[in-house]
Amino acid sequence: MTPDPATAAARLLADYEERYGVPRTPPIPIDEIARAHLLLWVELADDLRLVPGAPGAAGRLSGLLIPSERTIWVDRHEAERSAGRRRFTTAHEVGHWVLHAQGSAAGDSVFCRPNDLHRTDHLEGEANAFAASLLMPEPLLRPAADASGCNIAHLAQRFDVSAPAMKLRLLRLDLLPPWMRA
Amino acid sequence: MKICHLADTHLGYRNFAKLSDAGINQREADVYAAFKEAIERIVELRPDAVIHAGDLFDSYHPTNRALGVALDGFRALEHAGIPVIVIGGNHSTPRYTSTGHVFEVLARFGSVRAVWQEPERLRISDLAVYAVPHDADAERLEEAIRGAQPDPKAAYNVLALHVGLDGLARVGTGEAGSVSLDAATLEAVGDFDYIALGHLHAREGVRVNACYAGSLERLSFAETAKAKGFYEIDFALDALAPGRVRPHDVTTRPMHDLGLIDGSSEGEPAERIIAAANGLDLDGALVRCRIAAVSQDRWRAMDIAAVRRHFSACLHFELRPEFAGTELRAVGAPEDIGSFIAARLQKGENAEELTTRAQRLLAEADQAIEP
Repeated sequence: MTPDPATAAARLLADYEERYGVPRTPPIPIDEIARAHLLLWVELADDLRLVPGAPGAAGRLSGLLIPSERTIWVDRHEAERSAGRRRFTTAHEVGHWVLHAQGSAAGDSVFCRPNDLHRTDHLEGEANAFAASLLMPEPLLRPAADASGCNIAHLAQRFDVSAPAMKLRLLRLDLLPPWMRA
Repeated sequence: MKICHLADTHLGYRNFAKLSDAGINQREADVYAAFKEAIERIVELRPDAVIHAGDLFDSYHPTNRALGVALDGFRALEHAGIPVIVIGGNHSTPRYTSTGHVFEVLARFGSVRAVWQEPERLRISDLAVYAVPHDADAERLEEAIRGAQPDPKAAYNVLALHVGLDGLARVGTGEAGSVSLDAATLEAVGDFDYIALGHLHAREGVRVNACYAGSLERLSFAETAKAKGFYEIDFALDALAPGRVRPHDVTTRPMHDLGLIDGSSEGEPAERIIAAANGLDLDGALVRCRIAAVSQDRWRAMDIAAVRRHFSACLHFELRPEFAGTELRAVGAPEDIGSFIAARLQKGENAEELTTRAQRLLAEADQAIEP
């Protein structure tokens, strides 16, 4: 059974902090967590559909996890345009690793991140929820949101995520007044 | 105490070569219709004041018709006893002071308080409005904003600004004289009861007490918001109470971006394009469809006539192929676009107009490929 994404993300963060003694302050060092803690390679590619092992019929992809090679691939153009976007894609693929690949029967499957933050179909939705919980942990985000009057762009900058990702997280935590929910 | 907040009306905006029954550009007519509807709705709501947060006009030299529509609207508000504060935005601010500002005309007009030169504090009964007009100098603008202080003698304090905020959607930015500041700037003025923002075209709250009213019509395909309109703010309600900030919608022309159709996979792209519009109201609509990674052979073999027939009821339909092997990259709005255009200017062409149009198109292109 797949663990709850938010609980798994909190556990991963706690494990990382315990091992490396890093204080928990935003932005969450996702690249360090992926590389140093989980021993995953993070690589960039111009077109993820051309990466060996990528699914042939896939549409546009933002990220790709090939568990057998412990490698996360991230779309280079997106990564160059937006650090927040790159970080979310990496966290999403880390989510697939932790939730769906590591030590599971599905470990040989390949996991992709379609170009859609709002994907809610089962596995993609879980990976998105994991990424949001990992990069924007509720215990850090709640007080920060309160102190800044839910200043979305400011919070996005502090947590180094995109503004849409931050808005969605605040929405899911029910922190936004009605006029900010549209 | 209630106010209505609107912005980015862009009166005089024109696009696509389609004329209305009255013989004017149809999109220009749409923008006027949205403005008139907003004014009628505001008159019904009877707020204590209206704040327009910039870009009243699409250009610093509006046409007679655009000026007439604005004055008709303000006259309707004046007859209803509703005072108006309007600040200058980047579109309505000329680059050279010698040009003169169209707001000099508005300032002579009854109950309109036009602010275009430097920040001003205005009082309307218990309400104090600190109005900061657009300034193309980002440092000076930021300094003006950080220097804004609520009036302790007023029951309610509003800050009116026309500026972009880093990290938010780019629609409205990348234009002539556009300025975008760090979102932390809003923290310095967080004590205001409400911050009425203009410049970005999406109607959205960006802080619990700060909202962009957005434009009243969709001015580019990058504007995918479902609804357009203005806000009504009721200061009698608690700062976080539902209804404190209430959106009001206006009627807009349907605009649909069918997204990116994958032209590389098997099957007829024309069928996928038509299927993508399934269930959409196409009558009089503005529709765009992009086909990604399509080979030139497949594009040539496509039944484009059938696609166009399907979309014949649209006011505007555009099909944009992105051929395989040619990838779009973020283009941004180069700072030297003005000098680029100036060096290639033909006789009779207006450099500033062309620069504004080029910057808008570049911003739209940049937004369109932004994930």
